[in-house]
Amino acid sequence: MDFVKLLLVKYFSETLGMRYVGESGGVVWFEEGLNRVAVSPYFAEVYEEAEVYKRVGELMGAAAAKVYLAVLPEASPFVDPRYFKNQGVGLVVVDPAKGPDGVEIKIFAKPRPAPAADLGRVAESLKASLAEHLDVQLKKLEASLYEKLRRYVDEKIEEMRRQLLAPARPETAPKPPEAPPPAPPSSVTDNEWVRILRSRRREG
Amino acid sequence: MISDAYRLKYTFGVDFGTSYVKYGPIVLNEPRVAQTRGLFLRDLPESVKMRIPPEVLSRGLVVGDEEVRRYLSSVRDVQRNLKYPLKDGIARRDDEDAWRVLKELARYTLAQFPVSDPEFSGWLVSIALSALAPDYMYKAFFDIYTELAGEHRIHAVTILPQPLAVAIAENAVNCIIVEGGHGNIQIAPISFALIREGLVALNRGGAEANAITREILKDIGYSDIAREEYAVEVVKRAVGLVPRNLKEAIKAAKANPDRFVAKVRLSPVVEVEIPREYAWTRFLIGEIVFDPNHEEIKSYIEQSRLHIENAVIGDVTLYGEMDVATAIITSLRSVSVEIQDRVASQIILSGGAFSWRVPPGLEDVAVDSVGRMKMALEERNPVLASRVNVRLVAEPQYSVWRGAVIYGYALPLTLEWSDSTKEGWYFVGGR
Repeated sequence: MDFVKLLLVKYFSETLGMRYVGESGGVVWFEEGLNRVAVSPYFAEVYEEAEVYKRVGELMGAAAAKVYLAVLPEASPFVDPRYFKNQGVGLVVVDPAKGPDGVEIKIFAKPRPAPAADLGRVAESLKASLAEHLDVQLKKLEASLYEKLRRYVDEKIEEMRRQLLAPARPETAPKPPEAPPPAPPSSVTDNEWVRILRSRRREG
Repeated sequence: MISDAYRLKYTFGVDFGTSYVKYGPIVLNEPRVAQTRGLFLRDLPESVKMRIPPEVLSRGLVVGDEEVRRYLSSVRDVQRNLKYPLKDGIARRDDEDAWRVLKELARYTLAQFPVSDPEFSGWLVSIALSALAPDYMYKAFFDIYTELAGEHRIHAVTILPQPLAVAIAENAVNCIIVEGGHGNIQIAPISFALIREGLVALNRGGAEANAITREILKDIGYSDIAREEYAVEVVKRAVGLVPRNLKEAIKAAKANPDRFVAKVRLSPVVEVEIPREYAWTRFLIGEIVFDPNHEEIKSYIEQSRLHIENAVIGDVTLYGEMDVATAIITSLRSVSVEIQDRVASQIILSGGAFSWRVPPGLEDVAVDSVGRMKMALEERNPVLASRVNVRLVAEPQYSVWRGAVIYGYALPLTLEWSDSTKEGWYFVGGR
């Protein structure tokens, strides 16, 4: 392993406290808790802008929670920080002339939730909201059934007491409520605009 | 029958900003972002053409940051072939290249999210456009998505103005949205909907702050750097200050210039220094956004190529020199007196033109956008200033997209698009 890469591994493992996993396909892998972090070192004497962005493109396809591109200070003019920030890709600049102090994270990588994990989280929150909603609905149903039953019994007693011949009321058992739709996340449901927009109807 | 659960998965928001398109389905925490530009693959050498996939070559242009970069070096005349379709959020009706880029961006954004769910019956696309967008833009976008429906399943499309999307994202039902973009500032009163009669636009924004930064750089002797838009933007962000009071700030900077000198490193080999004799000009950069009516700014305007003048888009006049506080009061006057109090209860600032910071130690002379706005209102109308709550949006970059997806989720599908109210769903291919 060359000196510059050593500096990189030392910084990620000692300063940032990540666990060095190894290197595969030109990418250095670390573990940060349960998350995998990919660092692609691009150390060249002459830098090409196209190559910088090609590597970023490859990194974005990596199965990692965070991705970093590591470059020498000479690559700085080719780096568009807005692009890196927008894509959530981190940038590490390694200056071997400064030794162990020469590693600096210029742009921190944003955690990249895998789409599946993201959907899983939404599903979880939907499930929780649904369970809560069902619980409330069941309690309401229970209360309304009890109320209806009580009224029905009272009426029957009253009828018998008065010895009326009028036919008993048709026994309409309360319909079981339809399954409630999955509850939307609170950021949406708490929004007053949802209620306002839902009330819009075509006039005339 | 489309259920709420379906809408929570398949509502797709697209915010067509002048510089960036923010897009993605409602399930995302943050939208994806691509630059609002396209590269036409014209004048290519045969050797390059052979390397380009036929379907890309047949379309004749590429969009998307990665894709544009990939072909940028192959195209001979970048100036002519790299197209930014929106100026101040508007595409000209007769600008065919601009509309081709917008269509390609619409295709690109949907193509990023392929769906294999058997229950999927099409996206509900919610598009956010500038509040100044003329009617033909609405029609053109509906046409674009109708044409794309053959490739990507689209159920229905709706369009909402960007300030309304900001209000939705901020959960503010009665408010004034002040959207400070690169090219213009839109002041939009909202009360359960956008009040179009109250829309006031200024023909000023981040671009004017850039222009004055450019002139200052030229004066200091950095003419070469002043030519690069990116460098000017970095210098503006780093050294620009919003003064509490311009005259007093300039006085303080001239009396003690050492406090205000600044250095910005643009690259390992380029550093810009604002020297002592020009330190006071840092305040002009921020002030021009809020109020250009100062002698010091006017003298800069006169000696430069910078023009601050009125412009007309459709039937809306964009005022060049009106200060932001006056614009807010003008906008509020167009709102029914009965609801003025409610609407004026909060002013929400959004957009990059209001992103200013106060360096530590300069708090006595510099202020952030919220503070500057409060002071300007206090000066113009103390009664209004005492009642209003001014704040910045929580997520300046994403609030329009977030508002768009919530709008797409909530707007009833029974509401069909109406050209007069500019509300409802446009059903692609009819219902």
